[in-house]
Amino acid sequence: MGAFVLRRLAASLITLFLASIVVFAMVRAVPGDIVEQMMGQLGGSEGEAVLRRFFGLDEPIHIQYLDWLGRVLRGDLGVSWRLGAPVTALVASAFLVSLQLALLVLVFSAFIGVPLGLMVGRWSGGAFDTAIQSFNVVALATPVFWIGLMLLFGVSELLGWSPPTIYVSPVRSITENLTILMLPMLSLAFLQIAAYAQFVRQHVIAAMGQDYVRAARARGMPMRRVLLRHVLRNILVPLSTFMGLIFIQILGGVVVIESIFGLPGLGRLLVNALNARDFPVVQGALLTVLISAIVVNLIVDLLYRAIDPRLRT
Amino acid sequence: MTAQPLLKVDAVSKSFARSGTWLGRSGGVVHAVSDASFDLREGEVLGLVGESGSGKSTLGRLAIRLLQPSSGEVSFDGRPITALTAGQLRPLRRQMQPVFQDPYASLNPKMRVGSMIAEGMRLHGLATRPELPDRVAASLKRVGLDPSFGRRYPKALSGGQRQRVAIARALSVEPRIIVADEPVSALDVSIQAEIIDLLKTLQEKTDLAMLFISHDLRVVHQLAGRIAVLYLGHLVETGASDEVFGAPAHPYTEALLDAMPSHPGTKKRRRIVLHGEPPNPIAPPSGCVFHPRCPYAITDCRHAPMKLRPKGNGRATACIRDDLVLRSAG
Repeated sequence: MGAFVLRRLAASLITLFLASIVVFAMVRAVPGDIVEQMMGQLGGSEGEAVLRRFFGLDEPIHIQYLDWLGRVLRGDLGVSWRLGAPVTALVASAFLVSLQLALLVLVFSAFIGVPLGLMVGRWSGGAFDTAIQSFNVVALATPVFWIGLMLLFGVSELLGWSPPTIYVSPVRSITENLTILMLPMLSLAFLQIAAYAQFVRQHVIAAMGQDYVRAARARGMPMRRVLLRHVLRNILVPLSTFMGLIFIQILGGVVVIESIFGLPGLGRLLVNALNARDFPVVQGALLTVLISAIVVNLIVDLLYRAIDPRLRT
Repeated sequence: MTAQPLLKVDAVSKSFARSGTWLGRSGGVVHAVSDASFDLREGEVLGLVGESGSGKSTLGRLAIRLLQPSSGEVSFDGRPITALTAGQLRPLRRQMQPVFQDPYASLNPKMRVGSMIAEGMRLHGLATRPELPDRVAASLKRVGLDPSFGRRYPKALSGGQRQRVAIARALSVEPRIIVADEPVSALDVSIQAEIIDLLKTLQEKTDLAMLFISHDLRVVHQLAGRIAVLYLGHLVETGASDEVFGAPAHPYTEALLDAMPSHPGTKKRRRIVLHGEPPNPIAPPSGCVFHPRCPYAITDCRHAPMKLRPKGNGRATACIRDDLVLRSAG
């Protein structure tokens, strides 16, 4: 087990190193830089050159990269060119907001989507199944931002409630915090509930045709218990991988939904920094997203082993 | 022994509607089992034979209501069970247990062998929680496995061991009938004999009734006191297995027996070869369903009703020709 974790960690570090090169190059492939933005129409070649030297943008790209990498390895993500604040602090506070939202979506949609999938898989072909299937198709095809806007529009027009726009951290007030996160969470959950239900349904249908389910039914076991004891147990491993994939997908959706609901998360930080060509912040934020994706994959792999005893050797 | 059979299958039919194509054409109806009747008495082994696709498995599942018949009635212990709801059927379920063909599919891969066996006992209140470990160990011993197997997962077991577990699991709920559906055909030949012996010993010891489904006539002959021959969903012959083997009364039975591999050294003789393939069960032939392939068919066979007629001595055949003298096995 220990050796396995070490091996996986080493592989993750290599992935991370390669990804950091891609990130660094991509950011710089975007036309324009912060100096152009600052000078605008006033652009004079002399002033620009001074500023470029100040930000280190005049160096060759590999020197810039090695310089950045060296500092990152020492735990220093640099200073925001636009805000002057340390990137580590900016990214950390934004990441916590996004992480909380993503976890809420992951858990909330699992609590609704998995039982829903078990039910429609059990009664597949029936009217309920058909209804849910249609819902799934619609939910999977609807853009997240549209659902977000419709929800926002719906609650304010129909219920006359305008959701608070100033973010409150869960440490200050958990109720206010959850009130603010409710609509963004629901907007993202639609898609994920459908994804969970679809996934579980297919596995249930496959399991229902198995002889071990038939044998359990023949022993007089009620269907509900067969589903929970035999079918669900066999779904857990694929479901945990699926949750890992979903989580990474949710992180992507979070970025979109944050702009609509004005949440100070990683998405908003990233969009603003990219618009300003604030390279240290963009790099720091993307690196954080990468690391969390890698960590999620690692957790899923470890969960596998915990759930499926056959993998423990 | 009571006069009443433990299981009575009376004129049971099952058809499956094939799903239509996307253009909305109906896919037709497959007649898997047509008008099948047989009895099973306490302590008796009935062998059900027939080629692949003849409806053996379907009939086995209908007999213990793992499938709902399209028409006909199944009675267990004198009580009709076809119309019972799932809830009413539940207490009866444990008395009728299946053993499936493929022990790789019939055991839940995520469950320890011990908990599979314990599950049914708990469900039907056959053992209290503290008794369970001993009961599970006894169950495993009964099928010739060490009690330590209880802690293992199916993955760690061979095919033969898995089938022993499947048998232990079926017996754990103290059934009165076992429907064994080709229980050895997925196993290595060397293991088959062990499992057959095990089934035979268990059946004799506990006076179980067993419906033994197989395409292997030799295996059926070893185990079953009576046999029933199925062709294209129709029972074509029933009777005590020694008698059926000694003097088949239906041409299809004769062809089946003739196809059995004989011992080396026995005199070679001309084989009866059935021409063509079994007909399409969506559109079965008129009259006797066997007539297109039957070497003895006469014109009447095209219209003759497919019905088992008693021939005395507990035997019955669906063949209308009483004048035939058919070859025996061996």
